[in-house]
Amino acid sequence: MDDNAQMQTIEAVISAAMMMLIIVFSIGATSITPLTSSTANAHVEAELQTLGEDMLNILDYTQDIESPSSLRRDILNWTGSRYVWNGSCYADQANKTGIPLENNLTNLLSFSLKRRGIAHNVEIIYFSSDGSTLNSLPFIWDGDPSNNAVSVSRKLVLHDREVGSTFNATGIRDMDPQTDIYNIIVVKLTLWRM
Amino acid sequence: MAHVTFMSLSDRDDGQMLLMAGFIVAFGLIAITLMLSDILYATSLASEASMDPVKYDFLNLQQLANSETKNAYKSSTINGYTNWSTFEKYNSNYIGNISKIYAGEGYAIKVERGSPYEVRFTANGLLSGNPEWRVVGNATNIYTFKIYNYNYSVGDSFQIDVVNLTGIRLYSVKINTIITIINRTGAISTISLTDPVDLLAIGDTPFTFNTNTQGQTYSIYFNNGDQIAGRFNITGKSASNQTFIKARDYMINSTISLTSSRARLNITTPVSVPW
Repeated sequence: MDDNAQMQTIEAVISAAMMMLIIVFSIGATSITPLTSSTANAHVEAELQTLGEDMLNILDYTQDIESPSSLRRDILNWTGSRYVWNGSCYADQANKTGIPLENNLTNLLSFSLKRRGIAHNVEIIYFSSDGSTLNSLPFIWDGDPSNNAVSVSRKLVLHDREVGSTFNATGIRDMDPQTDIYNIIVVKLTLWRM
Repeated sequence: MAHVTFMSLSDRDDGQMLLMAGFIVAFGLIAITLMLSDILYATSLASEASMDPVKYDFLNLQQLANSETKNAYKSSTINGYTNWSTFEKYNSNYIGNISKIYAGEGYAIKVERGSPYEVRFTANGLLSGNPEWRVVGNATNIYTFKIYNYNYSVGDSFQIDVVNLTGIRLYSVKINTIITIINRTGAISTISLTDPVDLLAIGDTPFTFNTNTQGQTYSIYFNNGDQIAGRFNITGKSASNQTFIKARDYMINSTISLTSSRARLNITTPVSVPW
């Protein structure tokens, strides 16, 4: 009987374990990309989140409570169309040769995001007319977001006195006829790297 | 003849021990590498904590609470009369619905409004606020300028100063047991106290507001604003041709609390209404 057989078996097992560990570790170390769900990706998401929050802060800033913010004005002037990027501007998806959408929101989106290759959606979440459910409408649409997308939102209260007749076309209705509250909306900005 | 040496059994065992030692060192290195990797991962998780959007959402809620307190008051006040029942209904509907939105994002929120209390004529409306401040800047026309429902202590000296762009005082009014008007030339006129004080109606020429400010671009300052409480209403047009309203009737405390799985925030903000 060979006394060395046991030692050789242990060596073989340890060698196999080492090879397995090396393979697992190598795969884990080399597959980190900006789109991988990993520690590196967390930083990308944090950057996008901060960027989105800053953008909404800038758009919703108003010096005087009597004058509406840029974001509020842009929402109130919206007619419910879905706008997509056609390579040079945000065009109505149903009528791409029509007048492009140009306002403070689109100016900031194209300046801050389009130039840097950051895809984005802007959705408006609003209450149904009886206030029982929350619905969503796409305002600006780049497509379905990837797994590493982040969302930031801004809540706005729309009032009866500031809503014009064209706003009816959006489908957002007065949820509270008894008071000056027209609807409470959430402007949701979703960002992701392409 | 070739010289041949034979390895003893003891030498072969030493070789295997050396190999084992090598394996142990290799495992040790792998363990240390994995530990360092975990430390790096933990560091990343710590930085990820800054992604917690609770601060951003809380600030948004606080701004909304302030602006909606003002809006609730404005929509409930017609011709100077406030329907507090309408005010409560507005608040109730607003708070109920905004809570649903925040609940969908994982937050439990609570918004409470206190009872209205009197406004001091300071920058923030509180007794502790800055008593000397600019209420209106770069105005060219004033359409309304009233102070009413006010109370003061005898000997106090609340004063309104109107100053043009070069720093020259155009018009001053002191309100105490009597109203003292100082015009552009420094001449003084006194009239008896009334409530409301309509600054566009008091005094005779050359002591009227409009006589002294006509054709000028000016700012209106309140001095010793902590020594008087009441209500004021100023409307006009600025040099940039924009109309403005500066009015305060009451202070109302707005308390909001937000609870998430990670944090609990609570703040009370005094809000002046209607502006």
